[in-house]
Amino acid sequence: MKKKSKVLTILLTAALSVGLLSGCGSSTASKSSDEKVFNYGTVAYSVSNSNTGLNPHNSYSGWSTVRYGVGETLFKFNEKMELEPWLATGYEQIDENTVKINLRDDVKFSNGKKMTGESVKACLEDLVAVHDRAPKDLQIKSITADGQSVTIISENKVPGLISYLCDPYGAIIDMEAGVSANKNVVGTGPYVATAVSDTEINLEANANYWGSTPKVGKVNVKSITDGDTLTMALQSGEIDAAQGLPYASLKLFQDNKDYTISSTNTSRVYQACLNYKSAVIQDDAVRKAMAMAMDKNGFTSVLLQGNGTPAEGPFPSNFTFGGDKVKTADYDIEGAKKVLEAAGWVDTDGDGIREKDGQRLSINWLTYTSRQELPLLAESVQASYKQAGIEVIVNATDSYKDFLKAGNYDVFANAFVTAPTGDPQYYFTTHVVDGSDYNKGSYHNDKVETLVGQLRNEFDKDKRSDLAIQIAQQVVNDNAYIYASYLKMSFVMKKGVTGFSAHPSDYYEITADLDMN
Amino acid sequence: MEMRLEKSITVRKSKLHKDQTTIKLYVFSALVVVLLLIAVFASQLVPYDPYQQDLGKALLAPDSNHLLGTDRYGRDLLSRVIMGAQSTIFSSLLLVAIISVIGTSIGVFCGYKGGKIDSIIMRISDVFLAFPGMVFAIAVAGVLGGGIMNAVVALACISWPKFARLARGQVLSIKNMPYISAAKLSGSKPAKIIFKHLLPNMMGPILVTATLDIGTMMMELAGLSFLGLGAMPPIAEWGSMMSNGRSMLQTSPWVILAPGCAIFITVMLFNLLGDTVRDVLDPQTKK
Amino acid sequence: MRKYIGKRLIQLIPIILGITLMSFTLMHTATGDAVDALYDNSGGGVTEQVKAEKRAELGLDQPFLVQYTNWLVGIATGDMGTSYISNQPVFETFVSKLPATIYLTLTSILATVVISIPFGILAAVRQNRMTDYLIRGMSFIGNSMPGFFVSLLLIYFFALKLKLFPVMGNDGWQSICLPTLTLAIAMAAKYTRQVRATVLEELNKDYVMGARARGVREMVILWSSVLKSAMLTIVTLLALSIGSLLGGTAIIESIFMWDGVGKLAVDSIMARDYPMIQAYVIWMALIYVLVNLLTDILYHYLDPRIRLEQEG
Repeated sequence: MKKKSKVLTILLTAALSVGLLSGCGSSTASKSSDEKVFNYGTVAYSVSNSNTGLNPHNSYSGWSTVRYGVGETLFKFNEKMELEPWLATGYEQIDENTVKINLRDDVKFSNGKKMTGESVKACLEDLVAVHDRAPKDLQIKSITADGQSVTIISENKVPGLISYLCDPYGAIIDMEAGVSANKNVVGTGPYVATAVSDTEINLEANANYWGSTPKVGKVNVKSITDGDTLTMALQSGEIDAAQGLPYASLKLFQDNKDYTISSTNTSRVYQACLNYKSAVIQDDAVRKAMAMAMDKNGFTSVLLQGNGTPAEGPFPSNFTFGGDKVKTADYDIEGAKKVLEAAGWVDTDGDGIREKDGQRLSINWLTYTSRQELPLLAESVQASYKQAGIEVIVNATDSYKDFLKAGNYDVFANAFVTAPTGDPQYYFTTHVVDGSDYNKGSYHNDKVETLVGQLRNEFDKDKRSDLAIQIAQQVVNDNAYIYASYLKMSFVMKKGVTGFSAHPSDYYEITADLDMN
Repeated sequence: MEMRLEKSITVRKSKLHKDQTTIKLYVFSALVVVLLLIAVFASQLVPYDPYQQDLGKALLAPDSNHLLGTDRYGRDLLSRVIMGAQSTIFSSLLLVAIISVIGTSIGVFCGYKGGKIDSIIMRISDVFLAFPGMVFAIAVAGVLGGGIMNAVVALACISWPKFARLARGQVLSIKNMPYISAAKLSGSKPAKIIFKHLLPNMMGPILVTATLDIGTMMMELAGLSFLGLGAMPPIAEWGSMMSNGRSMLQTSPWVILAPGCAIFITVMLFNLLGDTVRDVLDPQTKK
Repeated sequence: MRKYIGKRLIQLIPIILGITLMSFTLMHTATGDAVDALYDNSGGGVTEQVKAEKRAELGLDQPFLVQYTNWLVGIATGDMGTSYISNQPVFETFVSKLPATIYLTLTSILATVVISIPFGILAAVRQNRMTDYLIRGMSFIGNSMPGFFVSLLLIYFFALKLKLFPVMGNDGWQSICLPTLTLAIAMAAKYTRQVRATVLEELNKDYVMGARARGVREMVILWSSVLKSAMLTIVTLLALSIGSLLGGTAIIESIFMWDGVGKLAVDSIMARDYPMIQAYVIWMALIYVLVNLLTDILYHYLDPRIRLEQEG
């Protein structure tokens, strides 16, 4: 009997090994092609970011059109976030409501058709007809085309019109070719999409490109939304460059001779929006203490491992109206304690949390997790506020919109690109004036209303900057928003990849300069 | 002759096996008790405050001051792992207790009663069983908000039918055994039959499944934490500690390995216990 | 037998109604206001009147049961609404990603069976010997680590260190190996133990003792009697596991960027794309119910005791 069971053992082991071997083997496919192929992994391209497809007139898809080199806008930003002509050669402000834009004469769409005033007109008209944000920004009344120029007449004075046209929604596409079923478009950029899906875009060099010839034949943009997968895909060599790596992973590529990192400060700010509908938040002392007890330096240097800059106001220092032009209180736990004590918040029951009139100093911190920095900020604040005697209950959920609507929160922390067009007005008109889209906390200040009113009608650049600083300072003085840090965006690429660098606007990624050696 | 010899060896072996099993039962039970004690007295046992951040001491590798190192907030990982025993083990135990008691009761009732009510309840259980666990939990979290208790509720909703089916199956397969029929014929009341004859004879698989489920549930909860639907920060809970530390696998591995090993050991211990309980309840060794 | 299947098919109707009603109610509660959600996602700034019109257009101003019925009719005709995020028809998007998930599920089940049945039997036959301890030890290990952790370790070792498989992707058979292994390891670890337990139980039954006493060869006992009886449990377990597998693919698909419905579901959850989540829930549930039905029929076929019970 013993012998038989031994036979059985051998049989079963054999069956097992065969099964295992046939299940999974090993081989790595190696592609041989004379053409250079650039595989690019990014966390930014995904359905949940509302930017899939390449149709710039749909939601945030324009970001993909411009980022991946398919479409270009009339004007663009340089590294200092200043305007430069791109498909245009320049513009003339004819009167307060009229702008004439002159176009380059040598631009062709990727299907070989010439870009003319008429084609730009058709594209912009479709943009304001179907897009959700563009009509409000541009306030276009009429567009006329004349040869290689277009004249735009707006409903109201729109000082930021040219800046708004740099928004990726302003990418110029051939409307006659239209938008294909898989959301592909015909643009003017160095690359043409051969396949577009929600998870990948395959690009080929545009033979008709008006600028310098693209150096890389094929580019594959892959949506890799999991940070660890992205890290390991770059390490294994499946991708040549990555955007959006977790901070903890960046260390693996820093001081590593096989990789290069390109970083830049962006105007994406991590901010806490205080909810004035909450009784606790209405207390000036509480807001002040909260602003003082946020450890911005610790957050950026330790939790973000140096990949961020502590923020003062809504705009980073590469803007004339940003950086330390706005003054905020320093990180000061003892000071925060004093502020609270003076306002009557004392810890009477000895649990470490202060009370006043039977009300516990406990705040509900609403945030979400799709930006990896936000839960970190929440937990960091939770600890430092506790030292000051403020309890923080974190609600990090991706259904935050439901909670925002219900209104039962004290603070909403989010990430926001404050100056996507290089101009300050957008942030203020969306965040601090009465009834604006993102003014979730119902902040109101008469002075701010007046100043924003002035900003809307001011054309002079320096005066606009001054106004912006004044408004931001007032918002910070009221502690209506607490600005934690600005995102430092990093691209990590294999050694040998050149012409691929992070841009402060976050708009431009794949360009004709991209090369692999 | 040869056969008889073999038989006597088997008997001797199974006696030896029985002794071994009993020893194992004691050892594993004792270890589980130790684990539970750690969980109960966690706040007394921790060397540091598990919630005290010190960014100056972030991501320290294990040394004599911090035996398991620190996490990215500079919190002592040993303290957090000990504290995490509480939330992690208790929530899993609670979950398993809920589903096994409710599921078994329903299953026994259905199996014994049979007929229409049986098929109705079984169809209802089918409806619950039909939802992939994670998806249902996500939907519930959407309604109730995240948090470990909501995760427990969500998992309980979809896990009880498993016990109901198991119990029902058991009842079906033993309810027509001669001794049950005999008890029925002799006029025993259903309650007596259920408690005296059915339950004792079917508890084995259920107890084993329940013990083994503790580990499974612990990992399901960890999976929910991975999606941000489990324990909320800063609560020290192994699943969320692991998912928060996962991007540090290559740079500061202790951050994920500490809670990972804790889950691993705990789940393993409960599984070993479940296995031993199964051996003890094995009718063959009981005879 | 045919009569039994017919009966079971009729019994399916209330289950399907139950599933749809439950998922509809859940999503109905979760969404709050579908129209608000719709416009929130497209940037906001829409007047109440426009919203009211949209509600009327979508029939959202009608009583709950009417809405449910309309929605049910929609499903029956393959219309599950449009995604809030991508504005694509939900049904088509879902169906386009379903094959990838089914593929992954099938390979995982296959791998599970291939690993767990031989290992389980082996462990049972060699009870309390080295082989048994080894197999059980491995199954304990596989059973005690969360899936996402296993997948990270697998990627780290197999893709990064050994460079055997790609980290992610949807192309070629190499890219399915790691996700399959991740899913199969956890399941196989569990089922190896179950198979072992079941086989052991059978081996200790009187008829096996009797057969041994009659001098029937061990191999014959194992293959003809024990395995056939043990199959009952194994088939049930495998069927039950399809449920956890379908749910479990969600996380694994997201990690490996496997473009199936699981990843779609996780993405939709992150984006609060309720119509898409709803479609996922219902379809997964329906698929599962059908698999369950097949199991029951098989069960029925395998165990005459239950057959008599149910037909009697």
